[in-house]
Amino acid sequence: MRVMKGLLWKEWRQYYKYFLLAFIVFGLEPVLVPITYWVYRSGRADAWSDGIKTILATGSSTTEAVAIIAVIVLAALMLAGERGSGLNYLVSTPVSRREIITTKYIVGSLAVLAIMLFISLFLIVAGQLLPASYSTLEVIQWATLTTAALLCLFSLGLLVATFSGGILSSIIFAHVIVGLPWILVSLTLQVFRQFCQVSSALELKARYIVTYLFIPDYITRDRRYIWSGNNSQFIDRVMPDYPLEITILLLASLLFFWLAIKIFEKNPLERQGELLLFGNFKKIGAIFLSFLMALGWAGDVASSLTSFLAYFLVMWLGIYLALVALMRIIAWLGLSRVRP
Amino acid sequence: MDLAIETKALSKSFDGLPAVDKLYLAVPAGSIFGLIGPNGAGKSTLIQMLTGIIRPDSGDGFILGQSIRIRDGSIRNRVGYVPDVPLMYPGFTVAEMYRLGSKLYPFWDWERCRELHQGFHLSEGKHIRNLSRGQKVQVALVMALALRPQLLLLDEPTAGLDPVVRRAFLQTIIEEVADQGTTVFYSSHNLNDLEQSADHIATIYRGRILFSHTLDELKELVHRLQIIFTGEPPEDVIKSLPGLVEYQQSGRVITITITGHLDSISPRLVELEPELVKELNLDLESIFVAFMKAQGYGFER
Repeated sequence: MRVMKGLLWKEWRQYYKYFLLAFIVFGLEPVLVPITYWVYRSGRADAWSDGIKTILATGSSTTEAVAIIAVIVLAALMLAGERGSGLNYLVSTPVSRREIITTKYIVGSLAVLAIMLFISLFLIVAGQLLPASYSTLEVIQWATLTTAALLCLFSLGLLVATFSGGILSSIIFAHVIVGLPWILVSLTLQVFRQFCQVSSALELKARYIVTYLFIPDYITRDRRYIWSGNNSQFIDRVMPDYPLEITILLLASLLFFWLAIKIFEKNPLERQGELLLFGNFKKIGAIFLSFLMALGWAGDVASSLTSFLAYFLVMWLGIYLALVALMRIIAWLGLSRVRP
Repeated sequence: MDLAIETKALSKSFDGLPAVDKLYLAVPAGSIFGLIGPNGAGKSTLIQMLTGIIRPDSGDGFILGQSIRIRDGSIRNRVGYVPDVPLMYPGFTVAEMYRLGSKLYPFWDWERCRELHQGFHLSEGKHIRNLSRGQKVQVALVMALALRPQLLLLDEPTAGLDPVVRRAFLQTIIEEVADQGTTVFYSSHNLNDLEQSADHIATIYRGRILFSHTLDELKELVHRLQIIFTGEPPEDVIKSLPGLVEYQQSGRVITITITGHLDSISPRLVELEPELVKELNLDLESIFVAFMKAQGYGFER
């Protein structure tokens, strides 16, 4: 407990400026813009709340898009950003890796919670004191679901940071993982539509599933509209089931956190900044990236399922070798710290 | 004999190349143990495994009787560590680093911390990023000693320090050992430093311990003799002496460096009827080089 208190203090001291920055970033639109609008008081009495209504309603707003990126960046800064410096000092002290990652999870999550709580309270109080075009219930529903989704994204960002080397690779890979459900399902459906008969029921089911797997959808809710295959016809809209979705997100957050502990406990801190877990992270990234690229390109050029499989395998190998060659050239030119 | 550090077939490889290769080491408690070796020999890798920064591939190590494979951080409650490049938090002030240390270590001694801090004339309000390398090493040493360690792990901490700072550093270490009975495990290129402070010396080369002796044992194992002959020196006979690693001749004067106990070659020297045999003093560097040559390891320029 003593050690945990020390770590909590250290995390707060080290990252409070980033938390403050995150608050400004999250709160710019819902807090500062209405204040500015109210100060000038032009138009209807509730005109100041129009921007907030946009955030609370379906569809993506700047705030939500920025918040999604901000929590992933925060997670990367808190873990990947400490590699090669303080983290080596920390693991030589009487703290375990479990304690290190747990405190980061707690402090980061509390920061996100605190920011969202402040914004929600501001919106509720403002809505009670002034004429507003939104209701308290709308704020509560939006805040709880958005907070759960942001916590889930933060947790995922922390998980990715446990096995990626630097801040940038951590941020990029986390965003790729977030978008993976959409990428994989879209590519797979595209391939199947080209070469097989895909029933509309199956396609619809796939789209429903993806809306639950794509975390930003819980925040923006604009992709909860189910469209036909060629996006020409609106079919349905998935209405939020707040208790179910919040539970799913919080459970997912805990799962990502548990995985982060398992991975972080196993990996040592070798070669300051470069983490070697299942072999080389760069090679794993190259395999993964080449897989996605080959899946997309093979679908474009193949005329049958058999030729698609042949193209896919050849392209996967070819793109992977090209990426490895590129990494070696970059390392040879001295642009990378570590050879692939 | 109590051991502060013990390793059993400890191994670590990077990209298939062994950095530490089935290493066996025993460091007696209460000793100042010096580890010397060329660049890339595995000194830092060994120390980082003992501190828990790097996990070994195989084998085991024990510090203060506890396995380094234990995930619980409490095995490092009484272990201080000063790396060659002190890694702290650049945005923290010196005072904040001390505060962090006090929160993490259960036996933190603020009085000792203040005493050492003042002794090194450090500034509490300065940020770590604004300190010179020497000052960072001093802060790291203050923190390592303020936690009241039973074991101090020092990884070339004096490399690049000016003589004044280096002397103060060594003096502090020696006082700590004398007052508290702390075990010091100290890797260094600087054999002069080790000669002043260490009572045990081990050499690591390509991830393995070549030899490990007390300083007195080491001095008993290497000798430099100056032999003067009245007539022509029997070059072939002298060159065939067991343990010979260096031979120099200047007229009737032969200077040889031999390894092994003097008793084993004295009778053979007497048979050659030299006019004079004189043993010259050897510093640790000469002893080390001679011993390495005897082991068949030379250092290329």
